Amino acid sequence: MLKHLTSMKTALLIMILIIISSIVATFFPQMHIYQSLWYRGLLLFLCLSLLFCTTKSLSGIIKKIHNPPQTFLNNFDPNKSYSIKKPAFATQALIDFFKENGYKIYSLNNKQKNIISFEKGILNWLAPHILHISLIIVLFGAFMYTFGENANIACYVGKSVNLPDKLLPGVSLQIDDFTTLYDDKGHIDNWQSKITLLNQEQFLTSGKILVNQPFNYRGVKFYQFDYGFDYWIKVTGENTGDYRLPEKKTFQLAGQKFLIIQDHYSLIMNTYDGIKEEAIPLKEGTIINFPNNTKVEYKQVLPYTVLNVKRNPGGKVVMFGLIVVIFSSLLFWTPKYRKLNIFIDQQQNNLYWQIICKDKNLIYTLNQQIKQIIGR
Amino acid sequence: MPNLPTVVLSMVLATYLISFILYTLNFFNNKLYYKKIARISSIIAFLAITLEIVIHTVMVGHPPLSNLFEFTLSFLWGMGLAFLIVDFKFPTRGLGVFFTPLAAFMVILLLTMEQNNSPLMPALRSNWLYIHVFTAIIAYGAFAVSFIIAIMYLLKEKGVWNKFLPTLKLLDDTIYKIISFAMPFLTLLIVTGAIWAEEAWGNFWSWDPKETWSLITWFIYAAYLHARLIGGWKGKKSIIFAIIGFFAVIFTFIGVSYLLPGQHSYL
Repeated sequence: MLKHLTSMKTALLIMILIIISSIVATFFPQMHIYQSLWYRGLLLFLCLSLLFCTTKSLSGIIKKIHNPPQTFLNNFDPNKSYSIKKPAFATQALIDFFKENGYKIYSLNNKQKNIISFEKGILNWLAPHILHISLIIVLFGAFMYTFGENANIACYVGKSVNLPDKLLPGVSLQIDDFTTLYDDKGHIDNWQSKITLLNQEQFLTSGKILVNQPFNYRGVKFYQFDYGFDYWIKVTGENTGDYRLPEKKTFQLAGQKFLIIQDHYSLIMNTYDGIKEEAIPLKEGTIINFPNNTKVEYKQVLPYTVLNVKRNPGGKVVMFGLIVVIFSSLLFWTPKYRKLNIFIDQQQNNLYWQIICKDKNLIYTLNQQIKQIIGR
Repeated sequence: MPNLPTVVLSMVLATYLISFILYTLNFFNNKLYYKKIARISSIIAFLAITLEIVIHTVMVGHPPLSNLFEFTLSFLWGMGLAFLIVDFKFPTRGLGVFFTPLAAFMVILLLTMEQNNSPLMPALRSNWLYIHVFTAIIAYGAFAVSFIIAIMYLLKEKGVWNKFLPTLKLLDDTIYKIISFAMPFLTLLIVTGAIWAEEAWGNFWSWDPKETWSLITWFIYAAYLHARLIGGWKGKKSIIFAIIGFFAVIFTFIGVSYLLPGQHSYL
């Protein structure tokens, strides 16, 4: 099982299965594939595959970072040696050249032998490993995320509402103001809710919430989710009472239909008695006569805002993972990993070298550079 | 009377068509001066697209990043840039012959599209928009060029224009290099989108079709890189991934907008 989870074929198979099932999921959302156990199982397998592959490569990473130069000795091909006249001069020339080009130099010198290792691009080599680790962190955070709590809280301006105990026990949310902000050209720029948090009437904190600017209080985040307007009317006659009506919704009173709409510049009540339609502009205190001695008095507009309130324990973990993903992605653009192992036999005046690099063009360039430096 | 953006786009179209003719002459005759003039013409086309973006930004008040017309324009810019870099850096003879008609087709699309100059909706008024879409432009532009080279690979393998096209190895290596370069941009695209979504809606991920398709694209290219780097897949087997990957890019870009509306449906 462990062997399968660390294999390339398994990783590819899991990726292909995720690709196919995700494609199906986008075309048939009613199948709820993302919520299904088997899809989550695929993500879990991906996570396990990443985890085991990374663990497997960890020993290699540590070994590579602490690789002592003498271990290179056994890897040299004695048939690829070059005789040089001045070994000390060639050694120094190589050190100077690679030092100048940003290589890290390890050397092991004794009376007979010079073993030098030049290395560059370790960050590029580490990039995929860090990326894999960061993806594990993200997936782990996403798993923690499922234990989060959230609620949509709607509240009129000037009023307050208790927050659910699962989010902030004993705390109430007061909406101080809600405004639509406009830019210089008169286009809607944002929506802003000003809030105060209270604990049994005692002030806790206050702040503002805009789209793209959530408000944070003790790990609970408040997002601007929605807004709207209700219209307060007072009815006398049939169905006497106070009512808060939403916009653009048709109601019937004393056999007459009506609805309230916000025009560009004014508020209008449209009435329809089955024959005649009438548009009546509304101002605070406007009274409209309905049949059967029924009167409707328009009192005022009641703006409300809807906030999405969340507590997500995995949020910080996901964010940390994503930042590491960004960091590792940037490392992919650092210089490619290459390692040169050079062994100079001072007694025989022979020089051997080997280049470890995945880029064949780079290997060719390095070979040319070494030959030029040692004068061949 | 045509407006300034239309005039500039028509200029882009004309220069890409001139480039096409010159690249074609170079492809079959291998005369260097054709290539030189073709490159100059492609650079002019690219500069004209840049000018178009500047004009659009001044006229609308924000960079062209927020609807299908605007993103197509930016995508064309990304493709133009990726093409010029590859054309200068790698000896991929014939790339211009395949790229310029595609670019010209995109310009025609732009000329026929309605220029929706509506203001940015509040959710899009964030600095994340610039980073998020910029990474998309670079990644998608590079993937488009890798796709063209993948097609050249398949043609060469079938023996079409065998004499003129570069070696299979060169084409294969170039595709790999382009995808290796573009993949971190695709990763950044998804990550910046996730961070922004958390800030705007309180969710890093909501399985919106565009999000999901960008993830599908990421998995396809990740599979390509893994198959090639660790599995040792080279040639046609890995090329297939590169081609499927670009189809996923196109579907993410256009297909999702029309067929699978979601939170990104304004694009």
